[in-house]
Amino acid sequence: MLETDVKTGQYMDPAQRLQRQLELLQATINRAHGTVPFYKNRFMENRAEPSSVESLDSIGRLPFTYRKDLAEHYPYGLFAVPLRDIVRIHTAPGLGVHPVVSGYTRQDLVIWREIATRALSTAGLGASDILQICLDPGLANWGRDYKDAAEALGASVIPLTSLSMEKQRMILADYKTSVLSTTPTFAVQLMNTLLASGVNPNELALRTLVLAGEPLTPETRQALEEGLHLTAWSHYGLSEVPGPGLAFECEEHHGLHLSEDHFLAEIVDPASGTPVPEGEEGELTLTTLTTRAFPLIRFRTGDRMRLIPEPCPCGRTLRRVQWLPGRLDDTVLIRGVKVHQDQILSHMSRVLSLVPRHFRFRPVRGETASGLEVWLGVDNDVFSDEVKILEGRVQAVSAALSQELGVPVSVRLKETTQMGPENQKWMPEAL
Amino acid sequence: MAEQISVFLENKAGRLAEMARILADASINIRALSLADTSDFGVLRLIVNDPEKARTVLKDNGFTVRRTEVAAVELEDRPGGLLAVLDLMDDAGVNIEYMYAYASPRGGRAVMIFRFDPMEKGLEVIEKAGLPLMEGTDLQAW
Repeated sequence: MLETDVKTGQYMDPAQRLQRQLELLQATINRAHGTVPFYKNRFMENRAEPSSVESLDSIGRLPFTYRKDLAEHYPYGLFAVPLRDIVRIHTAPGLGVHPVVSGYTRQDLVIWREIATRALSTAGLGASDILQICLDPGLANWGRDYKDAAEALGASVIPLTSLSMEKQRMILADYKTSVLSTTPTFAVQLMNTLLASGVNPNELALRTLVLAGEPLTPETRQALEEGLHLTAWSHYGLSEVPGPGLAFECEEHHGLHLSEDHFLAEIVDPASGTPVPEGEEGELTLTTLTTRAFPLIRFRTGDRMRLIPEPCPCGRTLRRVQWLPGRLDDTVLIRGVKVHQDQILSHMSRVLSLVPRHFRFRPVRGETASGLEVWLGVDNDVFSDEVKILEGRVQAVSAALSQELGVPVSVRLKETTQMGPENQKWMPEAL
Repeated sequence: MAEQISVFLENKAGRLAEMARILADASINIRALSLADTSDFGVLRLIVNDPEKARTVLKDNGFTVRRTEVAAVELEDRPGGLLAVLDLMDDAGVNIEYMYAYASPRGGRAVMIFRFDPMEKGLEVIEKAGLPLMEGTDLQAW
């Protein structure tokens, strides 16, 4: 049974919403404390009593949860319900060896679909639309959520497929796609491919872009809307707990409305953890209010945001955030997928059967393609007299990383003296 | 067997020259050389007059160097000289990883550098065929 109607939840009186959030927060904290040993221990270590959260402000008494905590309790350590109540298990790339595994009860799925449906229908998606989903395997969970939501709206869905740019372009033109869901980076590259092949945007049925995975900068939005003669809508979501549409743009296109009927949002100073004054930028921290299987308490997303304090002309009382570029944890966004250095290193070590001493990483964003470039320094451990062995290493590492991260990875062998400063493992993005 | 040194090089302008300069400055004489290249990198294989010194000086300059044992086989310097060896290896099921010629200053002698797989079996075949195998010192002396 739904605890709230998602549509009216958007327009709920703010005071009423705060009350509801407090009630749901207390219930969530008690449940997490009672059923998830990780939270129970965390609270104990920080001398935080669940019953001490008597107001929304006092949530500051509770400790934070970090991405590495999620991966450490692989696979089912953070589930708050018995496995038999879980109807779907999602896997998202973690920060190291283990991925992050999240679970959903039947009710959770209904809620998530409602959230995504709300975001999509706000973007104008309806039964007469043909939605094409172009997301990397690393964002496969979002692809499924968008598909389910769009189907619920009666739209025709061309679901997630890992096709070449050429094939995506062909489908877009031939299948009369009216709505495309992808990342801002991919949208730009697809646009470049389309225009380069001489396609007139007015001949396309495409009228809406739903962009997720990365912040949409004003410049990129303008380039896409002018280049393709359509409207772009920005969505925000978490990859660990799908999914998309957790925050979504309305017709004002000024900030993203947070699904405050399902999440409690804080903007905190990343260094100190204290909430920043309203309107200032900081790290988005989320607490789930209605999620049953996988509650998150004060989860530090690593995403840079600021609250937009003014009410939105659209009438929705869900507060808006401005999603800012740059990350606040040590991860880098590659085609919407968060990638951490430790993750890359652990996979490389596994494949090579040795821990590489010299390595660099670089996101690569080109006109028509992007991904990750890994430089592997050839020292005596990595070197072989035979070219085929060296090439084999390159192949093995790039295949493994491409698969684990879900984005294209290319590997280059470098002389150890030609790699740039030792302390700069992440090189600036190559264009 | 003879000692070959292998050097990893990026396929970038100037790396090969840099390496050659370092060897020249250390008075190292290159006797035979083979460059196996891909689009990104190359493995340079060298027979030099002083492999130990060459290794040291290259390593000191940041190059990654390996030592590999290879067979320097004196072939009959006539058409079919090389073919004879290749046929022997084929029949014995020995793979040739790579090979390159040695610039012999003495007329009438053709020397080929081989890396066999497996190496021991390849050497057995050469010895059984009665082909002269040059030792490292012989190569360096030339």
